[in-house]
Amino acid sequence: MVRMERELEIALVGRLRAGDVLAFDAVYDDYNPRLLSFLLRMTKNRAAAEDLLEETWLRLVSGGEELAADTRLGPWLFTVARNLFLSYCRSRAREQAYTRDLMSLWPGELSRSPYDSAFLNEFQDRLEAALAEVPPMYREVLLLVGFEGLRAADAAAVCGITPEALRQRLSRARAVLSQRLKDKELSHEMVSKQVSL
Amino acid sequence: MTQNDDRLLEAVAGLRTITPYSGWEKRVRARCHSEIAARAARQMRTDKHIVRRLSLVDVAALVALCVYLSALLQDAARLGGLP
Repeated sequence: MVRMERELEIALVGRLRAGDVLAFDAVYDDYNPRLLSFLLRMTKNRAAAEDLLEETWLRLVSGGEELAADTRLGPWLFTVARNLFLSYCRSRAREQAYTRDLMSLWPGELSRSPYDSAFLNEFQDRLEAALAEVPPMYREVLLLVGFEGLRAADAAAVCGITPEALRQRLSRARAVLSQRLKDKELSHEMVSKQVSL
Repeated sequence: MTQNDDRLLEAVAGLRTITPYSGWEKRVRARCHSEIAARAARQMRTDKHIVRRLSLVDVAALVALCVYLSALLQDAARLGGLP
């Protein structure tokens, strides 16, 4: 993180500790979609993801005054969200949700050509489906490092493991995702052939 | 890391960011705002309570000091032979 950004973050944390609503809004606007994307891909259930996200925000505002002055907001929020997800898994055992739930969630479309749109949608749908089949311990590192772009050390802190363990887990996660993606492509090709016959 | 691995992570990075429904987003924001306001009100009440308790302690200490000083003066007068 650039020094200036870090200084801004420290200032933001100070304002959060003081109960500044505008500081909260800034953090909320920045992290809300990112946390929802993470939680939705982990839970595979929109209602559950929204509940967990709401609880994440309430934890921030209720414990705001206890934040350490040098708290890094991204890792802190993702750690809370992840811990809530783990509690949710323990209490409800809903891990085996349907991938299809995830596919119907995209509210808007970017402007692309029909070909690009069809190709990208097809690939992204397959990627989403493959990702949804990756075991949670691997899925979370793919999302934190790949999608969120967290540094290895931060992602390791969120997951409660060492950076070295995270690197190994990420490597395994890539292999699992790659295999799932290949399976999806294979089954897609088979369906296409059957349709064309 | 192989080139394929890189491409895979790039593909994951390119996944869509999911936006919250506007109604949900507004409701949670409002709930957090009211929680922040409640926290501030609690804090203010605690601060006032501390101030009130401090001032009570101050008055008690002042009274004790006065009693002690008057006793001291009385003793001094008695030892000095004043009526």
